[in-house]
Amino acid sequence: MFYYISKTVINTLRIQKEVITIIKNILISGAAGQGIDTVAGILEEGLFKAGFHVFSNKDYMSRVRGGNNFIQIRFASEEVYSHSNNFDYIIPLDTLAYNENKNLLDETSFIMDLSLKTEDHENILAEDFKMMAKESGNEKAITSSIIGYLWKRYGLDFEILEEIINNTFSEKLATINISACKKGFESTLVENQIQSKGTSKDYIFINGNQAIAFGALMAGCKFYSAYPMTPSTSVMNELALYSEKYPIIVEQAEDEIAAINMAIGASFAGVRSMTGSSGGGFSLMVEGLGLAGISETPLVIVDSQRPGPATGFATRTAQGDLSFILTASQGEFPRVILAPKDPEDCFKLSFKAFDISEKYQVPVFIMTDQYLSDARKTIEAFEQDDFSNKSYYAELNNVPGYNYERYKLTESGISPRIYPGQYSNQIILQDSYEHDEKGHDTESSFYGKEMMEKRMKKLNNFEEDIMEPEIIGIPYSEIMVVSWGSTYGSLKESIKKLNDEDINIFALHFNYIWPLPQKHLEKFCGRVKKVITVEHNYTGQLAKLIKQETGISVTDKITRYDGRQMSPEEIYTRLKEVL
Amino acid sequence: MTSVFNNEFEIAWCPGCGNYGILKALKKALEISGKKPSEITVVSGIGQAGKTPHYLNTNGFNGLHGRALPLASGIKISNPEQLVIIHGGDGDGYGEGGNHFIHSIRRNLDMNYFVHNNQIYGLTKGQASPTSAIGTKSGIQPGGTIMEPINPLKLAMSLDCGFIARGFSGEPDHLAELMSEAFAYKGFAYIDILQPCVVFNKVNTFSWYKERIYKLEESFDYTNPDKAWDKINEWDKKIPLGIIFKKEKPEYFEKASLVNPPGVKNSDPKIYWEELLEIYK
Repeated sequence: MFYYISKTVINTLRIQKEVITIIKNILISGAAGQGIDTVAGILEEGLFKAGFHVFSNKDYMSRVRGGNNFIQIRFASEEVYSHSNNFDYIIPLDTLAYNENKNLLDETSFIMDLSLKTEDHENILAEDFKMMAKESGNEKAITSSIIGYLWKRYGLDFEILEEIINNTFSEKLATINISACKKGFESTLVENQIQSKGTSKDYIFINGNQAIAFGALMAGCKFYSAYPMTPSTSVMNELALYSEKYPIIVEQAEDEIAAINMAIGASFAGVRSMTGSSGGGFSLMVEGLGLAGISETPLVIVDSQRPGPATGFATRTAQGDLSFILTASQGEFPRVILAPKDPEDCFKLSFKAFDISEKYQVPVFIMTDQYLSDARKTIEAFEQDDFSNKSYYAELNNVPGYNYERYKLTESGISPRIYPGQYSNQIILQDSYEHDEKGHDTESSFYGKEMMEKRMKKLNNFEEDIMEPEIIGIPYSEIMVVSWGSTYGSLKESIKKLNDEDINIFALHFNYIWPLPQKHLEKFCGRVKKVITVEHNYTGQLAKLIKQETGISVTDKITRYDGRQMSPEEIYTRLKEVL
Repeated sequence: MTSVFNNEFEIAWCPGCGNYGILKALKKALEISGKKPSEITVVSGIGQAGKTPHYLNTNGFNGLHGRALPLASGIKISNPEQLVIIHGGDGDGYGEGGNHFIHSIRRNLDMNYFVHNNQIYGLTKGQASPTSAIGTKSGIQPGGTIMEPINPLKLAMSLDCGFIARGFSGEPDHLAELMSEAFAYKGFAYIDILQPCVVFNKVNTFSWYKERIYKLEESFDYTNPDKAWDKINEWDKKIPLGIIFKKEKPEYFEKASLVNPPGVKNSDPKIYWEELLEIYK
């Protein structure tokens, strides 16, 4: 036996196919260094090119070789919002991978067991694939044979795969892999013909961190400094790739302290700048955050969260930094916190973060997490016309030479801002000390009060930029879920499933976190009997914030803090438990 | 002296502080540079040296303790037209921000790092600094510090810093010459400036320095690393002033060879929109 699948299940699936969108789901699991990134890359790229909506996510260990990592690829002809733990194919590339994923197998699973030896399976198919690869010139090309096999089972066009393999490998390796792939393709029959809607032309396939980088570049970010830290590093990788051709400089700083100070320097000097890290690195940046706050230097900070404290789980996901970031730094100053919900939102909010930061001269956070950083999703290509760049540098009229005041007291609290060299007869002075209007340090009571009030009122008009949380499901139901950031996809699917079962429930999903948008909360909370929070942390940090700001109490908390993202099935089940 | 670089902000240094000589030298060097105030940015951390930007009519950023170098690096990378000068102290630059000193030398941006080295913490009232001699007594080192002092020039030399000089606050004209040389040098130019602290440092006083300092002769070959090492090791009896080591090295932008360097000039990045979308298609 090399796979396990019952006929009744096949029939059930076939019936379902006609009425609902069929979402396919493949899990590829193996050791670090075994090439699962390459296999998954070819597969997901291929499915995207074939016109499917694809959602893939990664689960990996903090090691370069060995262990067990996996990639899930979910695809359909309609938009796919999250991962899921119901698989059509599970492809374990070694025994450990097989054992690790045993618990995920159910009667709908189609297991392709390539492990060398397991209790339950002989490896006839594995042996076949190995032979195909060997005949093609390299045993390692076994994964290409598997891809070919799957491709045929789904009834897809081989040419798409061929092109991607050609682009993935050097010429010699490409020939071997295409041959191995073709052998796999020809070894089986179409089992489950699926149709795409041919969407790839106007769509892109991008992960959260790539989308943040893309949004930043389009917003005019010209400087990014950071110290490598998983899972934020891929923002830096992407921007470094851009820097080969586009006007941006990426600086690998000696530590996160240097990184944030450099980014502040760059912003002061006249360019839009960003830094990023995970919670541990951001901990080192906290003093710099205060500098951006008191010196009123625009700055965008990415926090790609992972479980903490200290080193925590290096490569896993969490939403545990919210309470920290809300109050990070001694003293008080205004800040804005955004938490994108999916890769598309990563782009939008990254773009928006720069605008907010420069408009209000405040630090702006983009809070993502490992799940969203690495999650790759098919989304509609961004339309240029939906995004416009505005420069907020002041035009000084009638300011006598050397009389410009960086911290001029104004009604809005926002002072006209210029950069060094913008005017040949003006200078600009910024200060980490409390300061007077020119930026000179002061110990006066007058400026102590005035400058604090000036800074704190800058966000009084933030309403014109704020976005209320998205309403998912049937509004005005008696059960309301609140959630934020990357839980969006799984939550959306689970709410839909509950609504489909005639359970009245809705969710408010926050991507603007601070200042906390309150209109929807106030509008709906009078009618609800239950408020349930869904978060990837222990204490329910959004729930605490909502309580603190609005007095609304959360009745039930659904939390997960083991570094793994909740699936739609898990949220569905756990919501049912508390309904 | 009337100078466009003067301002009217009240100076908060102690009477007799070595910083006055350093400020005087800096203004002189700035005059010689021919730059306008708008073309110069003076960056500092915290400490007595950190106050420098407030006493000058130039652009300035008084940042965090120890963090002036990375702050300045971001400024120089993003607005390379600016003449960027960093003023730090021995506690600020060799203690709190020591790591940045190492990596700023490696990065080799065309900046000027002037350290006011008075071998003591002034602003926090007299604790031992990384350059204090063993045995220096203070409120928190009542028995005298047991830490060995850093020789910052050795550190810079070991990192192959392309411009290493030593000045003295009591010789402002000579110091101004060194600063001018530093401005002219393309790359990271570093001057350790010896300076008495009239309140807290009772050992390295003005007269202590006067007895020991001497100016390197014009014939001194500062391109020779062996000779530079010899001079760097002089301290107890004789202390050399001048350019100690200098060598041509590719600076940051030469090394980076950017196809499309950004800079402050506004260009709409949206012209790259479609090209970028193609990456993800």
